[in-house]
Amino acid sequence: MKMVCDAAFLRRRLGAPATAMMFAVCVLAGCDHVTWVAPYNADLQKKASDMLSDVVAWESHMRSVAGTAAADPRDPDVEAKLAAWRGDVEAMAEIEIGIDPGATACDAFLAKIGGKISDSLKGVLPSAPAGTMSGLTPVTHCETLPGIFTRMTKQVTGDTPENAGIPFILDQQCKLPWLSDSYFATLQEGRATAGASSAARPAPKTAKAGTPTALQQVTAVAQCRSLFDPPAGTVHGNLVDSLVTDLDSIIYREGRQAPAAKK
Amino acid sequence: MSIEEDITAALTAGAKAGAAAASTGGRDFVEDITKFVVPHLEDIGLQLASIVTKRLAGVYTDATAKALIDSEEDAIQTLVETVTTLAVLDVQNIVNAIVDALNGAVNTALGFALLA
Repeated sequence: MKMVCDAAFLRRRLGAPATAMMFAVCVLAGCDHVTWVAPYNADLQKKASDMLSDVVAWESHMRSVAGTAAADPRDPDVEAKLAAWRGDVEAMAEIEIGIDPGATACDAFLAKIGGKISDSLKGVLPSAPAGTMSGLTPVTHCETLPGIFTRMTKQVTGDTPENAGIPFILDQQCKLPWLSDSYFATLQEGRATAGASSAARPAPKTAKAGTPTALQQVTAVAQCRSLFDPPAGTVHGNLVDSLVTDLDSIIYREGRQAPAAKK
Repeated sequence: MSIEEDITAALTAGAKAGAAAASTGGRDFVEDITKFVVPHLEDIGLQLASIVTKRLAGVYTDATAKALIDSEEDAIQTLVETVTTLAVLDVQNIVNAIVDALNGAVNTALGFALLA
């Protein structure tokens, strides 16, 4: 929508006093709808919902296998799950970039809306150059949830103390000391060659599983399971809680903007 | 009515539309905080208490406890950004409600198309 706000035209048609008032109207009414929050994206909402379902299911599974090889971070299924989530996060980030190019005037905008909304409205409305609306620079989107995908990526890939995420924490709590890296490498290769007439190569001696003591087994279960048992009054364990909060926030933001018919 | 009176009526209609949208938006925002943000903040508090308890009990290593606490602090950051997002969305809705009301009222009052 564009408005005819040519000063000479308006003065001829309306007279000087009315023209002045019309500029006020042009400033307010002549602007296109503002879009400061990236518009609703059903694809993003669905991806976040699907990933949330997957995270919840995985947490339940890990709770049941805590203290066994299946919960060890070196297990191929655990590695594959975290890799899949990395892909999901990247896909969501790409969608977000496509619909929300990023903040430019957002810091100033946010500073202005601090306080009573009614007092700040004038200050945040786009300003019109005198005489014409055609030179308006559209207000770009505020970059809402700006760091969320960086944080989510860290959650699913962080494997060092400096960049600690789920892989690092699993390594701390769920790595079984009586199972070597070779054990899991052999397991991975075995799955890849399942059904072949012979193994791809002889398994090294280090691939053989050790024998844990009773105490080791009990300790392993307790240390690993503690990540997945929800504290009293909560729904999720310590390990995935932050990731769930991130996904919930994306879903909630999209849900607030979803067209009424689709809610 | 004179042009000035027509335009004044249009501005008044826009202001009323904005006030109505602000009222709705304010209720929506309070509901957002109550329904979404507060429960998540409470959850984070319980998670942090749990992490500290498990560290003191020797279940978590220092590195584990630090990593989990860092992740909950990141979750707080997400919630803060979510609150900001919802506030921006409410202001956006208020502005657009005013624009809609003004566009309609001005066109009717002036009797010629301002929208090209």
